[in-house]
Amino acid sequence: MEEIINLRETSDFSLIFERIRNKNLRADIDISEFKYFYPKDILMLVQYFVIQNYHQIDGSLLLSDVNGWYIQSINLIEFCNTNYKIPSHVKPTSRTAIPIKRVDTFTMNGYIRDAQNFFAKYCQGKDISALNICIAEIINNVSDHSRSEHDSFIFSQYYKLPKTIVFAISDLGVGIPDSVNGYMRSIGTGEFSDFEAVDWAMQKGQSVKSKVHNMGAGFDNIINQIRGIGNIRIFIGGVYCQIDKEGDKYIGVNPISNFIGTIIEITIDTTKLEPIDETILEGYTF
Amino acid sequence: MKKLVLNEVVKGAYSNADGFTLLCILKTYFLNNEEVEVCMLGFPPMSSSFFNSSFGELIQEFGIDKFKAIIKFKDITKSQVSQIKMYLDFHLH
Repeated sequence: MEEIINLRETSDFSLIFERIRNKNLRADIDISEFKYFYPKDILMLVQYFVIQNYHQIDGSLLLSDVNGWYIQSINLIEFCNTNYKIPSHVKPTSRTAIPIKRVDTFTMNGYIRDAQNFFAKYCQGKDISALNICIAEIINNVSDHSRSEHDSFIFSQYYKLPKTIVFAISDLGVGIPDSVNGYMRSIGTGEFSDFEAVDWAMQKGQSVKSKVHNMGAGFDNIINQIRGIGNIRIFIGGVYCQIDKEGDKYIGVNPISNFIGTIIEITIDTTKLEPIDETILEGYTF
Repeated sequence: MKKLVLNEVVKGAYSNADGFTLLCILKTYFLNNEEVEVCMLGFPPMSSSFFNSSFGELIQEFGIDKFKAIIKFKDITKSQVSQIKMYLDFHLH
């Protein structure tokens, strides 16, 4: 391996995506100067090494003393070496992160159950059902639309300061703009720009009908769940979309050029979670 | 009235596949015009995919009035009520 890609900040991941696009994966990755990894950064590294392994190309990750312990504690290398073809369980070592997982609609129940149990200890007495619903909505969305060769990957981390749960889900499949415009072509209407397509897909009731019963409720559900307790960051192709605590949406240019697929990262402020309401109604007719 | 404990008949509340399982079970009651008590105790929050493939399909096929007449929810939390209400509003508008 002769070449080394230096990653110092999130936008540098464009160098990785350029390699994936050009199928030029013979490069090591140097993250020794990368200071603070969020789950989406971890998943972009995962995608590169999973594809590298898939093509049976050896690669290495150059770490610093500062971030090396973290990368080792989340078992990133072991995960990439064992999950490039089929999902494989990686043992947890970090106390604040759930091991990275390759998930689909068949395995999401298990992950959601693990996440619920794992994060409950940081949110005692609080309702963390938003976490379950958002994970399910995103994985269902990937399954319905992305046609990703490598399923999707998920990584979740608890941060003590500030008290937040951050999780990200990524895939390397067809992004929303392609999916929306494919649908627009099929119904004989004009195509959208990538920005318009993302905006359209976020609106309540808009669906590309990839499954008969799809109603376009998924994104709206995610936004409603996160309103007041956190924010959503979405990276899709050339588009970046952010939805803040108040539900306000911002759509702009993706700071990571050459980006492939989709990454959705959700932050939940655990101090804003409502207490669990244990009142049970004996009977109810709608 | 027949009683159905949701936690015992479906594995999860998130996927289309689990929603379809519930649809198959509930459809019999709709075809027979038979009321059924659906016990929600301990059932996790539902995704929209699960709802669309189960309750949503029943509403589309049989209408909201029949849905209300056949399904009686039991042991349901306030948050489950508000979630189902939200999905019902979405389906009806």
